[in-house]
Amino acid sequence: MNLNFFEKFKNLPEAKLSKESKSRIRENLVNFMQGDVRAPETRRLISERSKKFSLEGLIGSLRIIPMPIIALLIALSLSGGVSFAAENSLPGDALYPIKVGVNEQVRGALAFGAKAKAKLDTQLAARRLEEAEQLSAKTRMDADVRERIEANFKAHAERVEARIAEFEEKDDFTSAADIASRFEASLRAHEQILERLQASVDESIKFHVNTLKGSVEARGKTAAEKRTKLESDVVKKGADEDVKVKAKIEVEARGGINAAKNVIASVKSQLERKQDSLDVEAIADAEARVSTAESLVVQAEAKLEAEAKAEAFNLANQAIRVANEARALINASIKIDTRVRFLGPPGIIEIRINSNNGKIKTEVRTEGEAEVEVDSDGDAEVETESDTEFESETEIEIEAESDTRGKSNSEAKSQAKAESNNETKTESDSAEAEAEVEVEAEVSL
Amino acid sequence: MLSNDKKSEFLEAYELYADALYKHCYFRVYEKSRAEELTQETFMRAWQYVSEGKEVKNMRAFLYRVLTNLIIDDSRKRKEQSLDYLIEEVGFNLPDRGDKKAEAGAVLSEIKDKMLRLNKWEREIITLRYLDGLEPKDIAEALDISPNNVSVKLNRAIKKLRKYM
Repeated sequence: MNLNFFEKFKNLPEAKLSKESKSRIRENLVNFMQGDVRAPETRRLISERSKKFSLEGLIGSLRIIPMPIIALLIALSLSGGVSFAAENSLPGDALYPIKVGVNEQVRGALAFGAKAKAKLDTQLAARRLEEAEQLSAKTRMDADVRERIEANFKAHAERVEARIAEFEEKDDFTSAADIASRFEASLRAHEQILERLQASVDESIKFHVNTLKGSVEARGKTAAEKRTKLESDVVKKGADEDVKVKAKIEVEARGGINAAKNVIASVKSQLERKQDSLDVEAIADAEARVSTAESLVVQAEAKLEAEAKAEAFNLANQAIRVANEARALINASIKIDTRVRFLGPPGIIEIRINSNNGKIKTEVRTEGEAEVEVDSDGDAEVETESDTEFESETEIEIEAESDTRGKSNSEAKSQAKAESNNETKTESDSAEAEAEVEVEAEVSL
Repeated sequence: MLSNDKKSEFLEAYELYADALYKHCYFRVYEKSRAEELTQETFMRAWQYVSEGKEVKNMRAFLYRVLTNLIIDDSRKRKEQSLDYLIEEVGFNLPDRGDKKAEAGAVLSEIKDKMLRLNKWEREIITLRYLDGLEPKDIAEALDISPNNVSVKLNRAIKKLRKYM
């Protein structure tokens, strides 16, 4: 088996720890060893790890707690579980506020620099459109929801446009063109998706889809015009004699070409992976775009050789746009709907994964119960039991682990026993059976 | 008060293993600064353990154990970041976009893509085996599972990779 990517990796410059970094880390380590100076990272990790699940507050109140709730509580306190589950939520879902209020804020905080922020805004604008599309497909759309989505979308879109203008003012036409190009690609892809949706939804929803499509179309036109103008600005810049300007355009052109190759490669592997779940038309469509993108890259490289760097840059961006269209097509053709539900006592967690073309269907049901008895001294006894059943049209791997963690300060014994199909571990004294109730599902957006 | 012997011994271990650990991190997180952070944290946590007087028989395996735990935790927290965002970042949004950086982007994309097929344990096992060159028994110690389990998971991971090659 060909594992030569390990060799290629070993030759990357950043794969070696540089002398400077090595001694810098050593210095930090020595300081750490000297005193009680805790690195902020370590502090955070330690306090997260030692979170106790305290039973004191539950004395007398609840005798039986459905397991999914415990699982949820544990997930909440010990990992990013809730955050991940929120990713696929839609307006109206319980976890949607976390998606927008927490997850997206975090991404915003992590986006450094105007360019990265502009990219993020483009993605967030796209997310709003995706949510609208999914809601429409589920007939959950109404005027209020649509207006809210439109408003959000508009806000992000305006931010993107503002940043493009900022770069233009600074005479940084390549960055402006870059952002405009991606923005345009995203909008056009969604225009197409909304167009398709129009044909398949109910009358009542059609109106909303149509309205949204109108907004997106209008913005797309503006973005396309902007992008075209910027491209000619880039070409004009390319004629500039200034050495620094020339060098910058060349660097951007090369970067663009390689980025295009990356996107093409990732779309190709996506196509490969999802072959079985896409219909023939979608595959043909996507493949056609991929070859267009590939030929654009070849053209861009030729232009680069011929010293027409600005043209090369524009062609590279075009390749990226086309490749992104292919990707959006693939994603739109196969919407995977993942539902995780916690049903009432006795605790049942139901996971259903369906695709809109019926080729992927998976159902997992896990039923569990936890009995907690707390006496007046605050001593507790917890007993849990669970049972998992599943049915799937595709390969499924279930990793079931359970998290039992805690600390007991009293002298009385603490005992934890964890049993699973593979191993039986029995330990006493604040046992740590490492585990987490984790739900992993692949979702395309 | 800890003897200076213990400290200098530990620092020797740092000199010996830091490069390999960093390489492992970079292979898994694709970012130089994050990899350096993780490497630093690994040694600091390992020191905490050692400084509490606990004995460590196999320092190398122990360091890998701390490291793999950190990486697995790290990857959980990063689930929010979409993969596409990351793919575009590397190779395109780096400070100086020369040829070399873009090439790196392509290699890292390929790695990321292959690693996608595997679950978090399999990713570690494949890396420990083929990048770090650890023997199955050391991998078992690092991951705190039985050597048998290591072989089972290793074979499964290879099968998965083979399927998509």
